[in-house]
Amino acid sequence: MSTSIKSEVGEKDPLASALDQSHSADQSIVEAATVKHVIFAIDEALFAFPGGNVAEILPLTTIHYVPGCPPSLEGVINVRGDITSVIRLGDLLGCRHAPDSRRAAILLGQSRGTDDAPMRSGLRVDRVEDVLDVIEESILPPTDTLPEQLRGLATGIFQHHGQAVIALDLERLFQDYRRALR
Amino acid sequence: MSRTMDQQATDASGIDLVRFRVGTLTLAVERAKVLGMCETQDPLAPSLADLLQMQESAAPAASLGRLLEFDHPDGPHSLRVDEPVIHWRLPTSDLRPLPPLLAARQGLACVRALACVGHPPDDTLIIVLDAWLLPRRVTAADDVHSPDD
Repeated sequence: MSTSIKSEVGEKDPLASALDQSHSADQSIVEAATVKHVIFAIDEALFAFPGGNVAEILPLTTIHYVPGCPPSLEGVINVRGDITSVIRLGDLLGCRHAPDSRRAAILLGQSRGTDDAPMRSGLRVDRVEDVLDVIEESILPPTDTLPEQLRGLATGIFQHHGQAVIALDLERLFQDYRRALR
Repeated sequence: MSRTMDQQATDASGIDLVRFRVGTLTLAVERAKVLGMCETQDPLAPSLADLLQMQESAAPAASLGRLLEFDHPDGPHSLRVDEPVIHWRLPTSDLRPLPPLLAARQGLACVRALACVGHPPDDTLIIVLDAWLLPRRVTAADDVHSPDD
């Protein structure tokens, strides 16, 4: 009997070992630096904006046409009394939008405003895939093989369910668009 | 008491507009810059839709409408719009500037402000134009049609 107790004290039982392993795994996840991203699709291509640049994800609603705008600026929407522009994001990235579906959405993008005043605009996307914390170390630098329209906008590439996601710089996107560079 | 009076003053503040349709769009112009109005039977009368280079889906079908005479620094000019044409007072609290990216890329200087009336999805967007900044296109028809108010 005393031998059995000694054995229990001296060696950890399988459950205790499993709990230890789980605790260690949790600690390693907590310690890794992560950045929240909103992952979305335009047709079949996946892109992402930093979570801090997306104030809201809105369902596709009535977009009111305003004359005098370039084709990439689809119009405006009413967001609880605020009137916000809506840009066809695919047109700026050189991607063709998929036909409208129930999964289409408008990301309410907001720049933080460093040199310029903060800006807001809706960005039309074909669907929102996920909102998740991405481990910074898993984000690789953009490659030189990216299409020309994505160079300068892409901040990195990471994998999501086996598919490449191109992280984009929304601040730069807004600045370029305002200056008619896109 | 003073708060109540301030509130009333705010509620009373607004801008007088002439509101009308052009195709599927609802537009408005300051009432002070509309000099007159008459009926038109002439589908060839210069149209505001043409001046605004409206896309086909928003442009009016060939319907008869009203000819509005707008004040303009280069002299009054008349443009065809669609009915109904109404006087309307918009509370200043409902008047919105153009969103910044739209303002930066807007090709028509006359598009000055926006207002939304109602709630989505049944809301109506009102595009407020500055008649003084309307593109000027002198045509023979411009001289022929003069509104008699």
